[in-house]
Amino acid sequence: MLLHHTMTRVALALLIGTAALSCVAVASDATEPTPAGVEFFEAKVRPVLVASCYPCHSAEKKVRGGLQLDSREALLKGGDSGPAVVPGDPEKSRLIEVVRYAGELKMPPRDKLADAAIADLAAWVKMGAPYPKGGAVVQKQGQLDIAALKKHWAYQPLASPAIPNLASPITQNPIDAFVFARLAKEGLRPAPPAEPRVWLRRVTFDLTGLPPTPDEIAAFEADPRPDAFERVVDRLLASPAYGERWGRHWLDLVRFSETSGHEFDFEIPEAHGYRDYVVRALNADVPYDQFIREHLAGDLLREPRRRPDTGTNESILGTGFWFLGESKHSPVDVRGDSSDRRDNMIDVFGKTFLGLTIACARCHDHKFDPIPTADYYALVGYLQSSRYERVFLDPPETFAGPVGEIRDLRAKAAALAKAKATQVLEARLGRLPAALRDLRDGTASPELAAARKAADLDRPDNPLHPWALLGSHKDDKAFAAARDQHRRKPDLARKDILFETFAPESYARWYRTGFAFGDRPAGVEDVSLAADRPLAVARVRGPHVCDSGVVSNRLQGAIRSPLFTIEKDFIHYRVAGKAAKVNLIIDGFQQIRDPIYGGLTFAIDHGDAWRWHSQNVAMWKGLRAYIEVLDDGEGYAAVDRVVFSDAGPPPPAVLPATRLLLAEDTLTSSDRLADRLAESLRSAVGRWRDGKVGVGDAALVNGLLNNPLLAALAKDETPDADLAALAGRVIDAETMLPTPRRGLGLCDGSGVEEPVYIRGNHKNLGAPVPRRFLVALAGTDQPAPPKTSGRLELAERLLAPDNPLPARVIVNRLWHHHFGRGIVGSVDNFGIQGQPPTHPELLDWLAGELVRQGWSLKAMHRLMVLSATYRMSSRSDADADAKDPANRLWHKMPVRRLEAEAIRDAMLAVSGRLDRRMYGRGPNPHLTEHMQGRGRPIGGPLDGDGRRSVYLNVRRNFLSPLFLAFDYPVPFTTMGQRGVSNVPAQALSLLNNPFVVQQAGRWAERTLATPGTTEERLTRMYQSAFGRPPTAEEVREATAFLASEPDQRRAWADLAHVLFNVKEFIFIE
Amino acid sequence: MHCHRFLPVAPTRRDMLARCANGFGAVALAALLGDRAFGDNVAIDPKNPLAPRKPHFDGKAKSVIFLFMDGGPSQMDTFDPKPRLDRENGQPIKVKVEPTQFNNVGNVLASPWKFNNHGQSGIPVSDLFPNVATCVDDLAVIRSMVSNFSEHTNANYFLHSGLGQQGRPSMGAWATYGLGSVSQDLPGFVVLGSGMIPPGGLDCFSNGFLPASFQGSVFQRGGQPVADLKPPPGGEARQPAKLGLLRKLDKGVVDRFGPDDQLEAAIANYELAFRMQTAVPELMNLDGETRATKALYGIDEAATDSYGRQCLLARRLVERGVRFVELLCQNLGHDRWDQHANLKKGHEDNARAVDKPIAGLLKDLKARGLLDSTLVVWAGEFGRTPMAQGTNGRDHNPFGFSLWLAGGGVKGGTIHGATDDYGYHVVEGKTEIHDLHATMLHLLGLDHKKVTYRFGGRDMRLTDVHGEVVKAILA
Repeated sequence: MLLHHTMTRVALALLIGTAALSCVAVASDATEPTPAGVEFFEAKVRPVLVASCYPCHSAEKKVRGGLQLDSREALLKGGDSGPAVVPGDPEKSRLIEVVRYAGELKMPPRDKLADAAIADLAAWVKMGAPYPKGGAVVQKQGQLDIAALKKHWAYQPLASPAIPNLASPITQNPIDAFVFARLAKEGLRPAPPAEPRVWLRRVTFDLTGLPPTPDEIAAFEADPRPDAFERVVDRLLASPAYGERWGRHWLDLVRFSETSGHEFDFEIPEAHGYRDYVVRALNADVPYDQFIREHLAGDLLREPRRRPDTGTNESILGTGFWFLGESKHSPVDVRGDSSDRRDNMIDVFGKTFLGLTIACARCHDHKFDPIPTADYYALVGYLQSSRYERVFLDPPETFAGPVGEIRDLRAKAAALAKAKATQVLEARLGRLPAALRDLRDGTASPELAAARKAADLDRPDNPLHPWALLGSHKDDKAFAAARDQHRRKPDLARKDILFETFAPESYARWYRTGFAFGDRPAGVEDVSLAADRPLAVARVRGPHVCDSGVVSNRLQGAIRSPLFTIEKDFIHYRVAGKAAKVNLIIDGFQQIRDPIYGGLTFAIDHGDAWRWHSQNVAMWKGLRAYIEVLDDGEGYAAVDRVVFSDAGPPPPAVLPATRLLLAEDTLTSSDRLADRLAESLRSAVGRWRDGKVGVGDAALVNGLLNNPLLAALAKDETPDADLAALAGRVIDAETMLPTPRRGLGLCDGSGVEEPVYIRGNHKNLGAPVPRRFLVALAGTDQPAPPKTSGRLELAERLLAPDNPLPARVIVNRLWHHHFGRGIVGSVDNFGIQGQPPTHPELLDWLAGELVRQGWSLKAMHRLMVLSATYRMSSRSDADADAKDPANRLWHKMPVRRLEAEAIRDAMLAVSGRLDRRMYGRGPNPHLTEHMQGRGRPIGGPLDGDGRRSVYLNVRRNFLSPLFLAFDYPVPFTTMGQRGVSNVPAQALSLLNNPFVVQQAGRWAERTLATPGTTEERLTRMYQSAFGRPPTAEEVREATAFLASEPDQRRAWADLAHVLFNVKEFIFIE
Repeated sequence: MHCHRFLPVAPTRRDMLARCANGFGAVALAALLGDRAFGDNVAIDPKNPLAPRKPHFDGKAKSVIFLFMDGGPSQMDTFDPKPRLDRENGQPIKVKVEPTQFNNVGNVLASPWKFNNHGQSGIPVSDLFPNVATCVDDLAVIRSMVSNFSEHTNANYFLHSGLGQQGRPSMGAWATYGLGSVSQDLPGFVVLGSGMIPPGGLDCFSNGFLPASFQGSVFQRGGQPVADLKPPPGGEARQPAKLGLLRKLDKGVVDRFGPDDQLEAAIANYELAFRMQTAVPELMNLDGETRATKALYGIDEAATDSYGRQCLLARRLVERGVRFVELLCQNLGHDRWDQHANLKKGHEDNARAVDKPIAGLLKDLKARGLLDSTLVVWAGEFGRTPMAQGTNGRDHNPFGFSLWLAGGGVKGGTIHGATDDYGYHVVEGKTEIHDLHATMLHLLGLDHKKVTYRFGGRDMRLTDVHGEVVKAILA
């Protein structure tokens, strides 16, 4: 049936499609299929194609993956993954690979074809894939017509609409001109102004999320000045509560959470610092364009914004928003996991700043908007070129002074110490040959023998190791034989790649943050002081060592390698240090934990000796990675070698000096060895003294400095008093170093281009795309800097004057929160699938005004809440309600329900429990017995210590049920518009939740503690909760209610509880 | 019907319109504002989002009971016998090993349990499920399930919502969105907690971007099954007086603010809350059930009492017209079905706890004529590996696993699909989670492509852009 149907269509296409066919036929080879080939095709191949392939790969049905199999041209052209067949070569044909289920892509997806059918397909390809002429027209690949799609209103430049001329006495500002002109056009009249106190309650909740206090109400009502309204607005905008309220709105956009969800809900370190940054930025009225710039590239600004009180870097904290999403600790497929996380980042980025659903283009060109898939991966490139970091916030001057001072002191001390140490070492080495002979001959003192044992000469990195190998042979023949054996010992044939040796040039290619790692690797002039010992120097730190302890163990910092591709099974690191850590970050993956990933992180905590650490990375071959060395506390990290190898054991540790010595022709006896060994070591010490030390020499010198055998050769050595004093000053200076302040954010890494993932599949990579902003908004000519992420340029392109979206999107968000609905109803989607603006001229005027006002959000708030539109009553006449039932034209102000946080905060405010402390890590959520599961935190207090809701710790897997009942958003993506639902849990929680009952009790106590008559008390309660006095009837009802219960404390608590449940408490007019 | 029972507010002129829709009175403001309704294919009455809605076609199933086997039961130890494991027990597996969660791959591990054929259909079931085995002629076993994730949390989100990440509506939310719920005293989507919340937390039962009316309500075991259902101690006596005052004061608010849908719906909302305060204790009280019924579920037997009670509650919820019921696993002192080690003890404990209750549920539903209209689904989020993890456990395996469906239009006595000789990968009839969802919605009379909701610029569905109904298991 299916076959018949298809044949009919093919025939039809042949008849009517000649012209179209001739166009596509040009691309294919012109050879006619042989009759035998056609016969084979019709008998064996076409039935398989029709039954198993055409349903998804034919013009008739669907064209999945851009692939059609219904004509030879189509097969040769192929789909997103390239041509389907290479005629004559089944082994190179994608079609054969996928039907064999040989690779990642398996087709048909549900049931593998029978072996015979697969063999037939291969045989057919082998014979050149004969396919009768004709068949379906190859569909045009879905090339986005960007120019046509760009005609959508949202992509048009900001218009400069004329303000309608409206001679109305109630007009306050241009907003009203636009809104009222439109109403007039529709034959509607605006609702009359609301009572001033209704406006006061409305604007106070809107700007601060709190109810007006009775004193504020009284002051406003008593204020006769013509600018009383303006004064209220200025007061509210200046209140810290403004930033808390609008900060919470912003947190909805960036899916703010302080844990990463998934199985164990691990914490996101310093996430609350981002929240505090937002609150401060809004209170400071940071221009919105700057706010965006900081989110995208706050770490790269030449002159970051600094906190006035602490001088710390504010701008960099904006970049923390990228990392507030969900993440997991043990993805089996790390690349798949990374691409999911980046998808979320791009999604949040696009919706928040541009009102565009860019992430839709992850798997295919956007179905509606002019956003090709390449744009998506162009943006991913910026993320691939950037890295997670616990950023450093202190101003450079906080550390520059002390660090400079310590450096100077250390340089002086080091020079003194070196002089002393070389002198001592040379003296000791002078006594070495005799001591070695004594040891050989058994004539050494017991102390010396013990020292030799302690010296552990068997270690191949010991400078005296040659003696351990050969020194016992007194007989020259035996000596020579042993010497030859050690000479002959071949090095393992290892094809290691010496990835990093930390020479100054290569060190400079690493990415440093913080203050611990210097701008050069540690050198021979950098020494660890041992001022109280005769040797004065514990060790030489350089040369060519990546070392965070050169200045002080108290400094913190991080250093990260350039990006590389894992190509060997093992990575070997030679490290030393205390309280430090090394991570291998694979494809941006940060949640390094067991199972699976535990081996990608290791602590350095053993001390000064060099040790190898090996990682097996065979699982992740082919993926991109970087190494990060972290010094986050009192300690230091030192790395001097990073080796990539196919061998599991680290490279052999024999010192080059040992090998050279054994190779000497004149080395014919142990006596000679004792002399030559001492001589070569003395010359190494001499080179150190003269500042000509090489890498190998430093290892020798350090081996000598810490060698018990040499220590046993000390004679008449005394510590240097000057040096001890100097060292004391170093320690004093170090104690002055503050603990650095850290935050959540980004730092730059190697600039890389991300390939397109064909159909969103990270295992099927296409061509790399250069980093760039959306082509529809910024064109194609926008080169990114090759060596850095280029985020700063991205921010500037996004903020270019000809991009209308950032300004339009943000003024619409403000409007949405003030007027209950955006001018564009779909606040997070201005794309073609979004809703068109109800008042396009007003929207553009507002967006233009924002720019004219220097991107001041507070100026826009002032404009909006002082408009006559905002001052309207929420009651209108029946005629207007009938004509504009959904109030799309704002013929009145809508009645609005408060958000979860405002409801809770209002309860705290009226009960007197509200604690206005700002910032910091907030109390944990209060846990109920219903909040179970892995990662369950320690529960916080029922009343959250009275803190405002914005400060309560947000845990993805343990969101407050009280909040969720009132539509608190699950933090998974941008949520510019919360739902306003109505579920029984709302009624149940207001009636029975222990927090609500507790606050009602407090409110009652507070009320009873104030002297007054029942009516006076009731008036105060009503003013607090509803911003108005009670009516006579309300007083009567409440009084009767109070009288019905003999226990007055109880009665007042019950009354307070009822008032919380009165709808006026959670709704504003 | 329930209007005015609780809050007889004087009728406003739009009273009937605003508040008389079966009393649930829920309103999504967004829907009123015209955004969310835009592009949706389900016509929600904003006044009563839970009102029963007509399906797209005549589906046999009216309710769903989803028995979630948290942790991932092993297919080759339950419903997919693999003799090759016995032959090669202790030997290295002879096929390519996929990356696993713990990366601690041991040798082939034979099933510690024997399989026997059961019923008319002769479907093999292992000794882990002697009671469920007596119901096999009602089961359609799918042996060819695949998931996209090897990690619990992603796989749980995926199984529940069709996407491996937080934030999408759970299938119970979608079903309730599509069909509403017959019960007007109880939520439409109830999750019966048995002590364990699966990885991913309560978001497995989230309404996601759908209105909150469709979110899963978790009924916990213990004194207070629903949060804030009852006043704190001592508060009950005063409640009538308080509600009396509230009613009067709320009337004043309506007079003051003027007619407003949201406001009036919020007032009416107290009605359902009030009804729930009665309906939930009535539901949870099993005194009226006969001794024989309780025995059928294994109630009052140590091993099965807990899950038996939950299964019985599931039947009671279905009887009361609740649309979607999900049962969670109980805490047996070890890690649910997630036997990375000690497979034998762990699976035995888990199976013992649920086998008799599940068989009891199936038999009881059948005896009451409810099985035809109730779809029962037994599933974990993935299966387990044929080779051992360490020596005696099994790691996660999303490449092939088994689940079963029963009742509600399912063709009993069916086996669909197959895995390879090891039970490792699907080789026949590959069935995605999206296909399961499409099939479940189909059985409820819903076309999965038409149950959509506009969010984030596109029409979202439970099956995303995938899903095909598994026709082979339809009656």
